[in-house]
Amino acid sequence: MKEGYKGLGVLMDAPDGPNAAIREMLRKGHERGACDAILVPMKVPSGDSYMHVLVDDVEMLDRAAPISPVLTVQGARAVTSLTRRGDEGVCIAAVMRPCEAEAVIELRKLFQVDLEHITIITMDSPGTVPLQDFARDPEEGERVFAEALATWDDSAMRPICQTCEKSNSAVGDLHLGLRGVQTGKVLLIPQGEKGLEAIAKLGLTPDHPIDEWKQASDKAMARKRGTRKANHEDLRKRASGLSGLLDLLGACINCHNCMRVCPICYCKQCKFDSPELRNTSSDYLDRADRSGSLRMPSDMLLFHMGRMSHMVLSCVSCGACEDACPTGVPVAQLFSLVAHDAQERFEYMPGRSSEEKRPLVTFEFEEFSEVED
Amino acid sequence: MTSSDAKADSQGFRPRVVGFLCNWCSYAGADLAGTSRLDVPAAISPIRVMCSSRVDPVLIMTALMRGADGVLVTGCHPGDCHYDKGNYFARRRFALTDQILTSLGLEPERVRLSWVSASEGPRYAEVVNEFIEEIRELGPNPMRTNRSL
Repeated sequence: MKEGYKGLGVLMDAPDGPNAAIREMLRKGHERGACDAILVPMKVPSGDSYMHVLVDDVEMLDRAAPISPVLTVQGARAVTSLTRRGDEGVCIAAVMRPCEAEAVIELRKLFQVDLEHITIITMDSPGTVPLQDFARDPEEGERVFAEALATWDDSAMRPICQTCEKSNSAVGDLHLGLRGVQTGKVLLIPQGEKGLEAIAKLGLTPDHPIDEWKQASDKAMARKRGTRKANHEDLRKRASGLSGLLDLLGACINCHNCMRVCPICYCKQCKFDSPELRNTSSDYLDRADRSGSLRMPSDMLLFHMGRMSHMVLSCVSCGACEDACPTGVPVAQLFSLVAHDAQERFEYMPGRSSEEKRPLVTFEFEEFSEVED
Repeated sequence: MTSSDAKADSQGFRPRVVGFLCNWCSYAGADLAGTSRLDVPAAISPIRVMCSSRVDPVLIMTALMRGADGVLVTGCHPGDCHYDKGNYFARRRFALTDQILTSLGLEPERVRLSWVSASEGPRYAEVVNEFIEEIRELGPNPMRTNRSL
């Protein structure tokens, strides 16, 4: 985690809860010219989902839900669609969860976003409600989420959120500390020059120590690390080996939704959608002949493992893939397991710093001697 | 040829290995092994690539899933890459492949990375023989016969 400015933040009043406080801050920032527009999650008119919305008219902010109950379109995808044509000097404040912001940083390394005039605002995340549960019963989803936000009990949140030890990471230029902060307050933590600039434009002075928040966060994250380790060990037992893995992925219907919603999978043409993997019927027949039968369409496992090899080092475990899976394959948990192992081996943490190089575009002269024979 | 390639063991297992050989060092090394009349098993199917760093993990996985019992990636020794540093990138890509196979419990021993220079005909023969023996001990790749792949 990056350190806040001299360990100081701004303790802001939030009598009506953190969402209202963030809305107020955004409104003030817009008024004072800190940003031209705001990208923030908002309830859709039908009331059964949330989307990132680019807000120009601050009146609309009343409907914003900065801490939304569900992760629908990954925020990094929203930022990509905004800035992929390059920087045009429009200042945008983008509100999102830490995992979304981490993906933004990875996409910057992949030249898919331009952050020159984007100020990212993140907050402690209580997790999100599984997307399909929410779609089935939005009212119940809202209730469950409100409770999680109030109590920080994540047991009804997505499994990937329960094991997320970075849900309090201060990734954004401004981060809102909620956990362990006294009731009726939120702690605004600026980071780097952009964060300080934004704070100055808001007319605030960082004068409140962040220690208390940090201690509470570290404690909570340590607990989640334990949950994550237990979850991974369980998964390792279940999914290990060919038959276990195929059982876990057995319900996959090759829709490639997981790839389409993945913020890191940015390629315009995916190898797994390309004609390269279309073979002749006699080729399939040869393969069926060898094993007696062949699952069609074929190469389901190749798709998942191939996708792993392409994006797992930058995987932020946001869980968008699992939310998008129509058949309930625990794909985010599986990817998170491999991501954790791989990132540890490469001593890389996605979203940690935009200055850090992605592991596969750099090297050391002496390393990985264990794979050389 | 008198080597192990034609020999099937008691279960009738004849290993088949795909080799990715870099054009500048290892392919020339393999060529030298041949012209030196060294014993190189025909169980290996060599594929010439311009650089070992060109071997995307997906290529290795494709070979395994289509039933190769092992995959060998060879390139110039570190420091000797024709493109200066391709093999360092190859090593990282290979380490990632190794990690994915390890994390998923999918027999990482079936893949091997070795450095073979153009002058190392004997080393090429040794690497291939050794690897095929290892694969023989491992037995057939279960992916070859799995019906739900």
